[in-house]
Amino acid sequence: MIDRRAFIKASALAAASAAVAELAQAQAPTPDSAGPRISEDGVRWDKAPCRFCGTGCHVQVGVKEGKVVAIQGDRLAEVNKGLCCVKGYHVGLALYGRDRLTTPLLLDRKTGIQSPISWERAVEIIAGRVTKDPRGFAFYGSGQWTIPEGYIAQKFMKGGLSCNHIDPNARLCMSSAVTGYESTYGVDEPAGTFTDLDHADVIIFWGNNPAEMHPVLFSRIIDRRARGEKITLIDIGTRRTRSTDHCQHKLIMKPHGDLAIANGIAHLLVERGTYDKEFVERFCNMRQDTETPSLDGQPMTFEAYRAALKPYTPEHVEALSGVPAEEIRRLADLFGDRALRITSLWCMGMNQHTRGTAINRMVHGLHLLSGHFGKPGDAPTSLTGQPSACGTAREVGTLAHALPGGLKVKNPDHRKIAEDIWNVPVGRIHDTPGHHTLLMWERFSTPVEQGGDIHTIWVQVTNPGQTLPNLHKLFYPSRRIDDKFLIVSEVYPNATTRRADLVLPSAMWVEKNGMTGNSERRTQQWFRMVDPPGQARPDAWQVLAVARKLWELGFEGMKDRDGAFLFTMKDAQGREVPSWNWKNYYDVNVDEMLFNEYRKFSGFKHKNLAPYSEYVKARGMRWPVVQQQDGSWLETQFRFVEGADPFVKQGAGVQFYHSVTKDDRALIWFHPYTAPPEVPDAEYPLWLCTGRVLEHWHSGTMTMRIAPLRRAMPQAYVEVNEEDARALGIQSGDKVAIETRRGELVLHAWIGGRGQPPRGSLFVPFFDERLLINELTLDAHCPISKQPDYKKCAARLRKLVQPPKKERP
Amino acid sequence: MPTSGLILTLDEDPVQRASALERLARDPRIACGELQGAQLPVAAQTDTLEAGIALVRDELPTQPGICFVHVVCVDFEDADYNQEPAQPPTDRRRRAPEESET
Repeated sequence: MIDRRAFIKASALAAASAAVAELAQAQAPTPDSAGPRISEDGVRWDKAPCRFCGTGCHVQVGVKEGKVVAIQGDRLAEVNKGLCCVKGYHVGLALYGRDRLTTPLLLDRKTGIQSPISWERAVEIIAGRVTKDPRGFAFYGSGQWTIPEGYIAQKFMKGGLSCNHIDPNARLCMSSAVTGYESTYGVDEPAGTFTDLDHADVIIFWGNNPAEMHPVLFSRIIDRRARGEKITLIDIGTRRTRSTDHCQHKLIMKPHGDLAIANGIAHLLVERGTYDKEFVERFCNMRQDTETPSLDGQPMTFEAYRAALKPYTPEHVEALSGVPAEEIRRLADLFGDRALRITSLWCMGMNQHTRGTAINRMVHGLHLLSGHFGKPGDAPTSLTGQPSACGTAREVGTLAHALPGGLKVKNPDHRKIAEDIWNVPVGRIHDTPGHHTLLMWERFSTPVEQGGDIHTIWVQVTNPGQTLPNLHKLFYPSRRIDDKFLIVSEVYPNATTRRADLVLPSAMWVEKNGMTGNSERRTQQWFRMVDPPGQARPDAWQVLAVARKLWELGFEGMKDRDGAFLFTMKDAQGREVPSWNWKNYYDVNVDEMLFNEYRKFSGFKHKNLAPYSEYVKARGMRWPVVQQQDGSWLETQFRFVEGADPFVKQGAGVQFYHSVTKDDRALIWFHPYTAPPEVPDAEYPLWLCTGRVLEHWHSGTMTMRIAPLRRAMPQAYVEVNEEDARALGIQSGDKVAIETRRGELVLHAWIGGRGQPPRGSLFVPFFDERLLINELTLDAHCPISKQPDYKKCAARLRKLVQPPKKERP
Repeated sequence: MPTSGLILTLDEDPVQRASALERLARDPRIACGELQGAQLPVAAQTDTLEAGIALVRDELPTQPGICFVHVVCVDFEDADYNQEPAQPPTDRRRRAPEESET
């Protein structure tokens, strides 16, 4: 008889063999509605998207005796075709760190001690902070919020409190992608999908390291190569990464060099006449910035565009970017060849950039100018780092200026749509955008009498005490000011909870129902599989409970036009269910009710969503999702292209139907190269770049709880270039001090390091809360997207030495 | 003992590939399936989760002849995945007092 261990081993080999067979066919698995199942060893399996990055891999989660005990790549998922990356190895472990938060905690500022309190008391305290002054109450959310969680927070703030001070941490990671899409196509999010990676002949990584940050996407490319397909990979970045090693062309540029490179390619396309004249004449207009940068800019002629590009010869671009002129010519050759299919990928390198909107627009512009748009494999596609940065931050619109479905608070028609769907009185939604992330935290860190109009921030699913830039300016001051009250919903203690006035224990991932939206417009759903520990509860319930408390206190904002509670939940018989009581929360599917209401917003900007029940059956669907005559629901692989996008008129070919210029054309923008706001000088002679590492996800709140990962990468370090290290007398393992104009940090040096920083530059990961590199980073930001630049500021480095040990007398 | 199902994408070069296959066949932690094109399904068993993660993250990807490692599944039902208590990192350091500048 086969023993259990041998059975598991045989099962693992069988699963791997089956996945190889499917990969060998290079086909998407047939969509299936396969639901939960129980395997021979008594493990119950059900689907869920991975908790970590924006790829949105589906996994099968194995549960036994109330615990997650196994993870398997979901073979029915088109995104990952049964595969996971190494993060899949530990996604199930993230739930089981021993220091989970299990009870609400209230800080006594006099003693500095956080003591347990009841949920009832916690909810009363939050309600009291709202009634103190609703307009000074802010919500700081996340691209890790599920869609229903973000939606209920959005409605609570904008539809209930008449307050638009709600913004997600996604402001720090992809708001430049949003403004890039909106000002190019008139509407946010990529036209293409991950499917383009299966068809592209050339893939360009613009400041992107998918081998470590989006490994499953990267493996789709490597697997094609393994099957003998020819793919040209080009890496454009400021340091070498694991992705670089797989690329044929490795272009190491100076910070902000991407602006010059994009102009250099465009210049050659125009001067050589190799741009796609027909595509540009039929589908594009030219655009440039106004004196004060804005989302809409101002028109320019093609001749003016050509003249503006004139200075960007390959040699001039080489001088600005450090990339050899011949490489600029090579890139122009590739873009000028319409027989090729070219996909551009980018993530933080282009988005965390003080010219973030500009460089996003310029990369879109290269694809439009060269006609590399709209065919499988021809697409400019941004990636996201969080599982629902697209689904929740962008589509639910939890940004300070937005409403669900791509609508805007400044637009009176949009406000009316939202007020009607929410059934709230006319005028309930405030017409002024709220504070974006940096302004919200700056105002929170400013005394009221000096204009600090935010008195309370409720943080959910994010760790601003570690991830905001320039923490000395944006985070710490509020902790010293009376009556600046910080509420944090979290799963583990972290840099933010430790400084919070009120800590709320949250359920995570498969401890609750959820929906997310990945980087390719794919909306995904899962059901709760295990119970959260102690008194940890879903974030959506927390908002619901506070909303109900406010309603009980007579707070007008929690009443709809008919005087009913704003978040009334009803069962199948139409009876009201008191979901705000924890014991009744799962009497109905709150997620389903919230999603089906949110779905009403999705058609206005052609981001159509199917009913909740369809996502239960699928491994996600990419919007717009449109119902067919036979009643089935069809997703969209490529937007704006006839035949692929159901909203493009017959005969149009390509139609940018939300065009900024209202003529169905996209915009090709010109932006000049400019230097970064802070550059190395005699005092601070080095560049400092920050980012992530393979072992830890973002600020390490989850992955630092997984002992093997913590031991594998126990603390942050600084990567130093070998020549710089030699000049400074530094060796690997030495303690060094990094200084910027904002602070100083002591940590160990790693010569070369994984990223092999070029001469004159340093790299420090941000996962380690004991070594907070964001005390040193710059809060300068893109003037349009308001996204800060974590990738470049001026720094200096010096070696520290241990003093000789004193001899005992 | 954690068990994982993996797919190893092997090098195109036949010498490198053969060398990788030979090495994997000798590895007691690994059971190889049937090579299909450049991809080899394997099952890996390690004594601890830490060893499993190290194998998948560091050891296999850096072996000559192996281009990429996919995780297909992992079973950790009988693994001690909290081998040490999670210590909340609270030691916020600017500069250790015993240190001085050069």
